[in-house]
Amino acid sequence: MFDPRLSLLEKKLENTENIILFGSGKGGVGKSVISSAASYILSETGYNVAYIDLDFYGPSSQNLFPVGAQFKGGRGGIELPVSNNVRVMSIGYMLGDKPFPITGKEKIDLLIDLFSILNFPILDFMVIDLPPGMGDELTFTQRLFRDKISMAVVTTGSELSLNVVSRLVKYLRVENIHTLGVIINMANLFGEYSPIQIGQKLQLEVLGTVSYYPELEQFKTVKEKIENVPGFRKQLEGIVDGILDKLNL
Amino acid sequence: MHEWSIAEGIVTALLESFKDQKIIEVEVRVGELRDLNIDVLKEALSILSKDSGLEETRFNIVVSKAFFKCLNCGEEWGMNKALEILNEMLEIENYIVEEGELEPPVHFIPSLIIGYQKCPKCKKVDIEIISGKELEISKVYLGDES
Repeated sequence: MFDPRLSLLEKKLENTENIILFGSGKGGVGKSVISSAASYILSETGYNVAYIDLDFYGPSSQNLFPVGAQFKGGRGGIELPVSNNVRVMSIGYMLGDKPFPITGKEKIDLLIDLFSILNFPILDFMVIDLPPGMGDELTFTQRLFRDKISMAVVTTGSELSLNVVSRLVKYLRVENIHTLGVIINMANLFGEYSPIQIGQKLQLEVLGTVSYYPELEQFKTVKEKIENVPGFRKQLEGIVDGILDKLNL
Repeated sequence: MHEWSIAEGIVTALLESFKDQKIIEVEVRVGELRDLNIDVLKEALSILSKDSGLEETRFNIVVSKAFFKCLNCGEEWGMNKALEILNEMLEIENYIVEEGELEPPVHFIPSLIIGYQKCPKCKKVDIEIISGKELEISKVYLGDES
């Protein structure tokens, strides 16, 4: 008849100013690394940031943002632990490397449980790392928090990636979701289209490009990646500046 | 103790949906898998109802049993077996600390049990939760307009 959790959802996020979704439609384009690095840099800049990993099949934030302690629960629900000054949440912290074959209605139920049970502090930014595709993680989240949501699209310059990403962009346009622009990852690997051409193809502003840095793989956490690969840091700082500009901040 | 948060959701939903109507009795259906402390939930409902217009509303909490089904071989099992399997698979770092006690994460997020079950018969992990996750205001009895 009524789901009381839905009444909690709006209240839970009333102290969150901006929700930025990092999505692509395509897998393997680097959404998790870019969204976690953007969260880290936003936090460094002085904003209160939470990073929420909604990739239920391949969560990675337990590696990018290690918390090193058990989660705490209380009257208001689960407290978001802090890693490198960023509040973080992912089911990966609670499941480890166990397979999690969740489907259909169960996934929506998990999304409702997750957002209604988390105890969110005052946040300038909630950064959401979406899984590939246009599944419930995107559609449900945008329906629920539409007024606060902006989307950053992540792609590589490959034809395959651009074809898939263009479908996501059509969805965003039809659904009238505020879109910040496109981030082109591994930009030095795919030379067929220039950043300007990619922006034109997708009809999106280019927020920035990120090169492929093989050395990023040596570092497990986002802090290590940013602190040890100066080129990566610089490009991400540029992207974060672009996001802040688009949000008039 | 997140029963308080759930109680807040119930009270808010009722007040939003039945503005200016007198609510005599409410049935809340809670799945066994949520492992809620019903006394704490009732206490929270009673306290949060004060000065809200729900002071005289009776809250009837109904707990529905949890059942699981293997999508490979069709085997079905209930809560006791599910807890046995959960405890075998759960590692110490995956627990959540609530008021000094260790709680399994499924207490907060019941769907996570899918990651902590395997069929007791064929050992496959492709399973379905038939029931036990419910959390709904299932019946509302209204009186005269207040």
